[in-house]
Amino acid sequence: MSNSADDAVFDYFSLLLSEPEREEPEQEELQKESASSDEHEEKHGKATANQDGRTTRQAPAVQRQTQTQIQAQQALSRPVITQAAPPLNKLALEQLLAPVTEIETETETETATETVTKQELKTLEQVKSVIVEAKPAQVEIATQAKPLSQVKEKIEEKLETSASIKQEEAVAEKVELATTLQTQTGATPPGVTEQLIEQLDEEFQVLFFKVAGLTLAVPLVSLGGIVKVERINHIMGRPDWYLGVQTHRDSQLNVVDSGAWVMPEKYDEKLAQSVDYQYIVLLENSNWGLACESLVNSVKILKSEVNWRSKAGKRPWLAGVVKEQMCGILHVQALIELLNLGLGSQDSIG
Amino acid sequence: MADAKNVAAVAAGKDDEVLQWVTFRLDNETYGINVMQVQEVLRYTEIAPVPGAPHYVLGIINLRGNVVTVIDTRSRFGLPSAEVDDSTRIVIIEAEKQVIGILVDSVAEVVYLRGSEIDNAPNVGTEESAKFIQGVSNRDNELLILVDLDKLLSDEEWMELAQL
Repeated sequence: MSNSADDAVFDYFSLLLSEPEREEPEQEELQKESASSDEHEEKHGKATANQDGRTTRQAPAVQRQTQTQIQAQQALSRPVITQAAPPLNKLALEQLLAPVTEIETETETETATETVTKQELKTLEQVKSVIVEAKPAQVEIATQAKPLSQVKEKIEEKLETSASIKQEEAVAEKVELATTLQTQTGATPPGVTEQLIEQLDEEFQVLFFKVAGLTLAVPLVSLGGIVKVERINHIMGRPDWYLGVQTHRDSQLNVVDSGAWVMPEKYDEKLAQSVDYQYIVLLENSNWGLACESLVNSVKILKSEVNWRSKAGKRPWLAGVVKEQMCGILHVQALIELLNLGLGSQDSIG
Repeated sequence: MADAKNVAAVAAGKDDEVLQWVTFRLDNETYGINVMQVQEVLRYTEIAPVPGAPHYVLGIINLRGNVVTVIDTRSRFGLPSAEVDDSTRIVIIEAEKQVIGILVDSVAEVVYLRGSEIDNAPNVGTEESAKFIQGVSNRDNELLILVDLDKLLSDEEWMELAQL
């Protein structure tokens, strides 16, 4: 296909890769506020912004706290920041895939950031409550301590130690949580694709195929076979993405117009006419097959070379993105389930 | 024991009943309709349009003194309209106790099909037209789409047609 189509595909998957790193505007605002409050924070803010030109998932509540807390929070935010996203041409991306971007930001990004920030904020609230508990005590003791300077010193000492212990506990808890959160953003295999990942060896083979300029990958363990397009019978009353039926070994194969199914928002009349399907990629032992224009190659890849998706979101059929080829890898079981239900690529199961 | 086997064989035989289907073509696909519902096949003849008729009605023809309504099969099947040519036929059928004509590209043959040779059509359609596919069958590497003529129109449409 054309270069522009390839660019679009690249952008498409760049978006998918970068989704979990988006931040809610509220956080950005709060971060701005906090940035002015502390010089140390400013430095840190710059450092994070320089990484990928975006703000990080720092919780603003903590930034308003004492320097000790800020340091603790920096420690917490580090693991979250570590995921570097490939540079994106955001404008082009929005122009090309406006509906997809909208949906993604509404659902996946939102849910991903929501879970992260909600949990993070919970612990931050805990930290806050510890500090809130500690502060009135300090004030109370300070007032009482005026005439009793000796007692004051002792109590202050006690308070400092108890407060620091509490802070340490809270920070430790948060660090633990932050580590867990990092796994949710895709560093290790997530829950949705767990089954598929278990099924795959550390190194597994995938077949790359092309549809309207878009490259897709299917793990060979989920591949039912490859059939050449011969005679596809059109059956009335079926969705647009349903190409028809082809007879294969005395049974009927349901052939999916992969372009129309995978990217309905881009698949206009012009693109549909330009597509020349040559092969049908059979999905496991179902009677579903994806029509494709060409078979690229079959290569061995490592599990770590795939950015596995953590949330089913709008595309449960997409297991992840192969980093090197920048192409989607199919979750064939979810795909079959969707097709059996007559659902499109942006519908969710159940 | 032998009796039981015979009973089973008879039962299986009944299930695997042989039916005859008249096949016709529409937009490069072959469709089959139950021969028992087909009365006759006519060459294309002038179809007189009926003002105010539903969109799926092409018009009426005079069949030996009887007025027969002709259905626009292509539009019913969601296919683009085509020019009438030498092979165009009007198949006179009986469905839902009404005699109507359906306009088809051509009529091919009568085929015999066992029940076991008929597969279910893929159940992914939500459109109205998805309902009238009774099944599909593979014959000589050609797919035959079997049409349930009774479901070609909805109950309301059949009533509407009766009052035309």
